[in-house]
This record gives sequence, structure tokens and C-alpha cells, in this order.
Amino acid sequence: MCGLMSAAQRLAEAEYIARARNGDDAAFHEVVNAFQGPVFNLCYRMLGNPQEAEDAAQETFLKAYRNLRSYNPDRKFTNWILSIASNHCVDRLRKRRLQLISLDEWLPRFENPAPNPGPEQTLTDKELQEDVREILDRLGSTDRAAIVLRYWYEYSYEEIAEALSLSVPAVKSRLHRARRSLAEQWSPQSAVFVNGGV
Amino acid sequence: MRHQEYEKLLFEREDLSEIERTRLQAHLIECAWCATLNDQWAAVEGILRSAPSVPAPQGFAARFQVRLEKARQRKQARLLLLTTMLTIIGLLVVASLLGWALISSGPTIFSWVLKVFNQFYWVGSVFDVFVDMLILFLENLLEQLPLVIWMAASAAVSLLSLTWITTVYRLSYRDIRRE
Ligand SMILES: [Zn+2]
Repeated sequence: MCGLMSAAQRLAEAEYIARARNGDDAAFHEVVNAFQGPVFNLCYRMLGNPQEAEDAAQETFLKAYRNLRSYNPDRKFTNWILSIASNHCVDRLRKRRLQLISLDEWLPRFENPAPNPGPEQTLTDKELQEDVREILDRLGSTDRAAIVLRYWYEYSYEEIAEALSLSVPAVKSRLHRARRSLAEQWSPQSAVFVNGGV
Repeated sequence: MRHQEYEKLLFEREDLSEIERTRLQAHLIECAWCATLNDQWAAVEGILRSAPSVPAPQGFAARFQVRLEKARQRKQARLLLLTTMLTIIGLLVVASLLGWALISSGPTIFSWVLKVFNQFYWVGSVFDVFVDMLILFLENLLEQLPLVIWMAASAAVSLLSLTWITTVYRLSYRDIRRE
């Protein structure tokens, strides 16, 4: 969904990434402009909350800025930055799980709407986003990252493995387990999940 | 084949060959268990596939610029603090070495201590005591330490000060990137 790009765009992208690597801050600003969408979407899907997603996305760009010299230009820049974002979100989710009482459990779900609900956004869209969050909330952090990279970024098993530092068989087994668990929890009668999240 | 083997096909449908796909379809017709699981997964996957990407909120890039600037300032402050502390520690080490050289230079140290206490007794102002002590200390150093030690100490102090000044100067140009 986030992948298609023309040859001219790709060339321009390669140019400002190269300039940013050489310390050009204006070029890095271009990088932020160009990749804020995919990075924010990944963080939002992972964390399920617009404020935290913004913070995580900002942190991702800060990490990218600090480590830009270690970026290998032979690798796709999107893959590199999304790998930083995924790992950052996985860490956040692990820390969140360590907290004994999650604040989320005390707040009604509708207090956390999707960001920027424009006038064009219909109730069905909101419901869809709500359903997606409900689905992803049921997965552990690494499984969630694998699912998000697979469905929103059309990543191959190899790309997911590289992003999450896993082996390809491990990615396949995680995806299988995640899909199976989601399918089993889905109630076809009410079109909702039958029991509490994991 | 048992359910488990069909489940594998069911959840990895995008990787299936034509033969495997046909086999799965045939199994779904005769097996209610797998057919239900298939429908449930189709519903969940349908939601995942139909949800569009969420765009970044307005002003995201501008807020990042502010954050980057703050991070840069914090890093510069940390570097400055670190360099200052290291310089102070370095100066203390040089001073201790000088003091040690002075003490080990002979019995004249007792006369020096005596002079200091005399000054302390007669001079009322703390500032004057400090200045006098410094002058006495330097006079004694010049008298008692060999020229080589004196030169080495001066070189060390100069080097530390130069390092500190250079770091402070470079900090005004340096950002938070890892070199
Ligand atoms: Zn079956």
C-alpha cells in the first residue's frame, strides 16, 4: 500500500538521502517529509494510539538522523527506516507490557480515535480502524510487527526477517501462529472477537 | 492429510502452488472444521487488507525540527559538562603530582606549611589568605622543583586548557550525529 513510486521519485529520493548522509540538514528535512507517512502508519498500527505513534515516529527519525552514516545505500531506505521504527515500537510494547496495570484497561476505547479524522472519514472508516486495532491488539509485539509489515507494506518473508532480525522460518512460523490465533478468536456470528486479547 | 496440514495451506495461501490450492479447496468442501477456520481468517484478513494507511498528522516534520534542535542542545550540554569535568580532574591530577613532588623534595615543606599558618593567623581576609597561599605555593615550587618538572606541569595544564577551549569551540559547530 505504501510501496509504489516512480523512477524519477526514486532518483530524487536517492539524491537527498545521499546529501543527508553528508550532513545536509535541509536534505534530511526532505527525508522526513518523504517518509513521515509510512513511518507514522507503522507506529500507529503497532501502538494503536496517535499520540504515542507520533512520539515513536519522531524518535525513529531521530535515531535515523544519528545513525545515517551507518545506512548502506545498497539497501532500500524505506526498509532501513521501517526496520528502525518496527524495533522501536516492539521495544515500547515490551516496556508497556512490563507495567503492571495498563492505563488502557481503565479507559473506554472510544477515547482514542484515529488521528486527523477528516470530514471525508465516514463512520465505516472509523469502525474499520477500530477493528484493525482490535485485531492487532491481540498479537504480541513481534508478531504484530510481522503482520503490519506484511499487510501494509507488502513485505516478503525475507524483508520481514531482515527488519526484525529473525530467520525466514521464524517469520513464517510467527505469521502462521498469528493468523491462526486471530482466525480462532474471530466470531463469525457477531463479527467480533470471542475472548479477551492476549 | 489431517487438519493441521491443511491449516498450514490455509494460512499461507499466497505461497501455494496451483495443485496445493486445488487440494485445499477440495478439503474445505468436505471439512466443516477447516471451512469455518477459513471463513474466520478470510474475515480478519479482509479487514487487514482493506484498512488504508494512516497519514502523519499535520505539522509532523516541523515538530521534528524542534525535537532535533532540542536533542542537539542536550547533547552539546552533555559534552560540555563531560569535557569540563575531565579538564578539572586533569588539573587536579597535575596539582596533586606537583604537590607530591614538593613534599618529596625534602624537609623545607615544613617551613612552607609554617609560613602558610602564619599568614592565616595574621591576615584577616580569606581572599588575601588565598592569594598569599598561592603566591607562597608558586614561590616554593619555583625554589624547590627542578625546571623539568615545572615545564612538564605547565605543558600539561596548557594542553588540558587547550583541549577544553577546542571542545567548547567545536561544540558550536558539532551536531548530534555519530561520527
Ligand atoms: Zn480439515
